[in-house]
Amino acid sequence: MKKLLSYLRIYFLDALTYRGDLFLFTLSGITQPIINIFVWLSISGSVATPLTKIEFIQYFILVIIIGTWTSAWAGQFISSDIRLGKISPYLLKPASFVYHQIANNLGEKIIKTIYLLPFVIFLILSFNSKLPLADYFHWISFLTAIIISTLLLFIVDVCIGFGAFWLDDTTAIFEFFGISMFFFSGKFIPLAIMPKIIQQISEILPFRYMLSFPIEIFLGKLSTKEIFSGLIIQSVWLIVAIVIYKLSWSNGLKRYSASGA
Amino acid sequence: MIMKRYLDLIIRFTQNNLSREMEFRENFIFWILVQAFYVGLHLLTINIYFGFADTIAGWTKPEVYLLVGIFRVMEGAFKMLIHPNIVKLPEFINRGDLDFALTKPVNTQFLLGTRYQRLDEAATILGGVGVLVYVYSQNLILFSWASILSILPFSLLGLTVMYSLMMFFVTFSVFLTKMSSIWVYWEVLSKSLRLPIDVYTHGSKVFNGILWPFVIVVTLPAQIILGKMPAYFFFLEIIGCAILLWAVNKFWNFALRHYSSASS
Repeated sequence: MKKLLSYLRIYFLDALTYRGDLFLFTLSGITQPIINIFVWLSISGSVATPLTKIEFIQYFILVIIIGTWTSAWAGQFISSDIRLGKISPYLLKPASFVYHQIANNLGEKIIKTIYLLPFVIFLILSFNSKLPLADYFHWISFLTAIIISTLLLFIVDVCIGFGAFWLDDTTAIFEFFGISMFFFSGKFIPLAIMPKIIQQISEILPFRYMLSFPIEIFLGKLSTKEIFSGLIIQSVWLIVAIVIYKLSWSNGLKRYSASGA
Repeated sequence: MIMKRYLDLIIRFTQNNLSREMEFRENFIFWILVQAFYVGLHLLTINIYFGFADTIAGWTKPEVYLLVGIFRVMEGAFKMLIHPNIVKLPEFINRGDLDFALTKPVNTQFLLGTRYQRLDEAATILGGVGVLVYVYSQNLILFSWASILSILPFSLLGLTVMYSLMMFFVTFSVFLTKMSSIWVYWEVLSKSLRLPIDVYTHGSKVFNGILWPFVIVVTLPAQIILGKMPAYFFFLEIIGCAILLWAVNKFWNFALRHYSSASS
């Protein structure tokens, strides 16, 4: 824990030097949700849609906030580091490789959170300062869901990066992952808008539990039973991801040839 | 004489880029498949939108398809000819490599803007043409030959606008020196242009007027081809392009006077 904290300090300071770039990354992350808000505003003006105008706005603002908070992009760097033999120095350090990635991820998020503040304020105002989260149960399950989402997305991302132990090029897997997120996570189109069949599939696949699930809890769209079953499925996926992570790291290291060294 | 020298340069650059591209022939086939998939995904999202409404901000589904087709053609041309050059500029400026371009006996903007090409982006253009052929074959919109042919000059003009808008952002790197995230601007620009600007402005004339540099990339050409705007707007399109190009050129020359050449 102490190691993690000191790494966190280092990576936070590191991220601080790139605050301009991080601002731009945040900008690129909010573009699509904001475009989506405009699109649905111009649609829901004339016809009946599953969500009301204000709900569409709230939904996509939450996509921005929670999407940024759960985001992970370590995998891209891990795969290129493995290919170029650059993870060797990390193997000699006194803390596990993944600690660096966690600290790096959290360091960035602290900075990005500051850029998110205007959206948080806007969201609170849009509810007339009366958030839909009714009681402690909803608050606790919402926060739990966010934490598991963050862990799940991060570990899956790292695992895809580990694919580089076996494959020369992991771009295709990342593309496939991105497309699955497109359909099943509610990132681009709220799952409530999607055809029934996609909604049913998304309840089983892990992608909904990386973004849409905490948003649904927050907006009060789920019953107590649905929240419980959702949290269970989410936890199962997290355990599966952790097992895959452990296996691929130990097996991958055996194949790792430290090219360039 | 001067024209011949520039033409010569373009031919040389293309030969060079083509021979580089030939090393990755399989990549091109793969890229066509990826593009076909993305176009499909793009049309699918539009279909989902139109599952709830017959018109969006005054546009019907086939009309948006047409706009998507034109946009994909322009985007492909931009990413083939201009994007590979523009993304290298901030690094050139940051490392002082701009010196080498400034001292060459040709126009600097020409040299910096034409040196690199990504010929595999032809796949993106093909994807756009595919959409246009689909819209045409379905008889969803009535076309005249003149309107089909006009897509070409419109694409050239749209390309000029995209170039100007991106150059505007990139020129800031002369002052800021460290600007590695140029792709973010392109991301924001390309994502917001692939729908009619009316979606953001609800067709308000005032807002469309304020946002005119964005309107004239794809939205206005599509409107003229669809007959939603009178044909004489074509001249306004040309004037708009000329103004943007002129303004960006001025800004670039102004910035160059502040270029401090990191290496010397």
